Amino acid sequence: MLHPPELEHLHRPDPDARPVVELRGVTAGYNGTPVLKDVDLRVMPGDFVGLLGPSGSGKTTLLRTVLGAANVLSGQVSVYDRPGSRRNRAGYVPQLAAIDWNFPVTVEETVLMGRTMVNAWFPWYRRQERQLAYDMMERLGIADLAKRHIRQLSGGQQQRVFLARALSSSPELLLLDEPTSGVDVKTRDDVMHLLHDLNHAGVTIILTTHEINAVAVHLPRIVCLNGSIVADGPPHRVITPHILQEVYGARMPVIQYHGMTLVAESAHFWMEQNGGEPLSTVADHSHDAAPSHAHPTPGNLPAHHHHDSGDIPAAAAGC
Amino acid sequence: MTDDGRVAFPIRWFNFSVIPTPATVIPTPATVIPTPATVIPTPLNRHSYPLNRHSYPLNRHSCPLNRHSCPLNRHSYPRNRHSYPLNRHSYPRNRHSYPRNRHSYPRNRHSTPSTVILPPQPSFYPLNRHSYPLNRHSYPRNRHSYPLNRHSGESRNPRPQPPEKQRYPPAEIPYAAHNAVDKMLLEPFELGFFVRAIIAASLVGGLCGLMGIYIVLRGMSYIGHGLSHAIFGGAVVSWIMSINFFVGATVWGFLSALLIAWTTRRNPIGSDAAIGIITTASFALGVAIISRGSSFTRDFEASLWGSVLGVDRTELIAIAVVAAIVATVFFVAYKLFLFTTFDPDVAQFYGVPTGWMDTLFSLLLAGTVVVSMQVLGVTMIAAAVVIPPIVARLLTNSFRIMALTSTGIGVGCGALGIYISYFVDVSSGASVVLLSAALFVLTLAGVKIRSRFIRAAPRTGGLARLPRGAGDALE
Repeated sequence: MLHPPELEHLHRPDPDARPVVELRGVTAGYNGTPVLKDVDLRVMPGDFVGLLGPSGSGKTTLLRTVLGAANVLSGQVSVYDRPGSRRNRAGYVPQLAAIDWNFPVTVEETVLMGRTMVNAWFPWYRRQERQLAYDMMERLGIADLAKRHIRQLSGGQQQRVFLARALSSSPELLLLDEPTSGVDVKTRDDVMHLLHDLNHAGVTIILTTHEINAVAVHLPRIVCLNGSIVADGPPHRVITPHILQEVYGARMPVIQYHGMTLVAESAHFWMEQNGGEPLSTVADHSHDAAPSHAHPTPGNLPAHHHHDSGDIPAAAAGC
Repeated sequence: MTDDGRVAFPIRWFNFSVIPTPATVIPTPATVIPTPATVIPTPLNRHSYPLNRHSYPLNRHSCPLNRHSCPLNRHSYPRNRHSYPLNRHSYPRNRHSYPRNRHSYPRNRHSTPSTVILPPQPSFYPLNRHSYPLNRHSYPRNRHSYPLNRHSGESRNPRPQPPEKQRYPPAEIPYAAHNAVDKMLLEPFELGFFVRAIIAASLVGGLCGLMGIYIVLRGMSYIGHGLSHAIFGGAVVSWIMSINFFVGATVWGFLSALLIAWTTRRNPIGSDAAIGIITTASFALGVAIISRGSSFTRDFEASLWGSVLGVDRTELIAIAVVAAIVATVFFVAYKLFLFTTFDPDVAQFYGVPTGWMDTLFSLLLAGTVVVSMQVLGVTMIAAAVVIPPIVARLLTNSFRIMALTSTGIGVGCGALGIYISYFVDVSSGASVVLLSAALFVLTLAGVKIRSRFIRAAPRTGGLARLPRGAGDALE
């Protein structure tokens, strides 16, 4: 577990600092149709925020609002700008599914795109910019792939390429849209640890996710969205059956297991077995052995599992 | 007043009654010159004889010396305009007479010093404008004759050409047998129109190749085809409004491209559908105007099929200017265009002015299509835009290399296509397109064979992974 609740105080941001992102009563959407309603959000420097919600709940719209690409109908959006810089210093990592993988760019060219607006009207990249991009690739472990086409990479490497592109613009705020969707467990684990390291290096991170067990519960702060903000706080406070019911519109049992919050996302079968009632919402051991083999119960967890590895076998819940 | 009715005046002799009648006037002394007898009794009315403006001598009907009278007025015999000798209309040196008027043969102001003066031949003898040798109407070197005057070459307005045997090279140019091949290969470069054509085709090929990368990668391959049709409408409208063709057509194409971009962005309409709607409507507008106008002197058929060999100086300059602008813009804004094309949404997040880049792209696109349309024709432009980038895409995975390769392929296919068309004697636009299509087929086959070979290799312990580029674009 990346951010156990015991260490929550370490992630509590300085209340005197200026917020990186501040939304006050924002209603935003596209073509005049609001998707987000009356959102208040403050993201402080050093925060690591996960936006959690079902599809269509406005996670991406919230990111686009911060980036200035959504139509703000009312309210006030202010994004922290470094003094003396005109531009919004945010790095954005799109969903891998949104990338045109047939486009003829190499890894190096993609990473350098992050430096586009630094010397925008200078025809080529300067040596120090190339150096910076190479350093970033080195740090993310993709430097030896620099001349490859972006398609000839594994999922984790692809994610790193676009992360490197975002980081090469030296952002203070990093926005990621579904960084863990469509990648395997190992890659997801790698990406989460990478983001964790970046956060410790001082980068403010906002990511969207719809995976509760695999991603959300490992973040220090979760914002639950469903058209508007339902809950905001650390996972052990936010992930409760009541809030999940409100966000997803479905009853999901929440299990505390060795200090870890787990959500049985596909609990319908259990609930049917249990006469329409969810399983006990707080349980250290699952005595009611589920008849399902497809859904591993907490009781099936291997004993040698480390809490801080992030590689959770229960991550099958993400599927 | 006195009693007999007279007015009394203080000075007596002024009284009228006192003044004697003329009969009683004392005759004037001899010092008074008597009036001539002929004048005095005649009342000088307009019919009276002497010396009024109607009187005999010197009235307009009278004999001597009025403007109608015989000698030496401007109408009189010698030297009137109809009379014989030496007026400006008279024989020697009038405009119809033989020697040395402006229509006459030798050495008038229209004759050229280089003209070979042949000895007069009795049968053609007087060298008037209808006579045989070497005046501007005569056979060799008149504007209708085939070789080497400024009107010769492949005409923009197709005319009935002389029979095939009389076309270039004329039979009378002798070739030495030993350097015949060299001469034949270099021969087209001695022709001005051919050199112009090959320069124009290279520039247009490179221009379309460079522009085509962005077009193909944005998934709007048919914009070239569509926009050239749209510009056809613009050409007709600018002709009607008597605007310069290049300006009118470029503005029209720019507006069409902007409209396409706008329609695609704001509405759930695919770019292919937007291209289909807007450009075809614009084309139809041109057709409608043409079909309403009864007579069109301008030949719009030429812009349908293109006329590489009829490229004149103005068009060449226009092509060069557009090519220079496009190359400069894409060089300077290389990074911005790359990011905008790769991922417009994210580029916007990174601060790239994507809206302006799109507008700039539309403008460059309109200019490219306008100048290319003149050379390649509405119907051939799509291939010139699409084939070089696709061939380059098959060969590489790097955007920068693809840009250079595509431009190079465009230039090469343009120049080589024209050169081949000279010998094979096919339409030059078709020649260019067929050549690049053949190149595409060859490249495709080569990449397929290579990728199969390399994929088969790992079984025998060869390369484990596909090298960059090869075969990847096919998937």
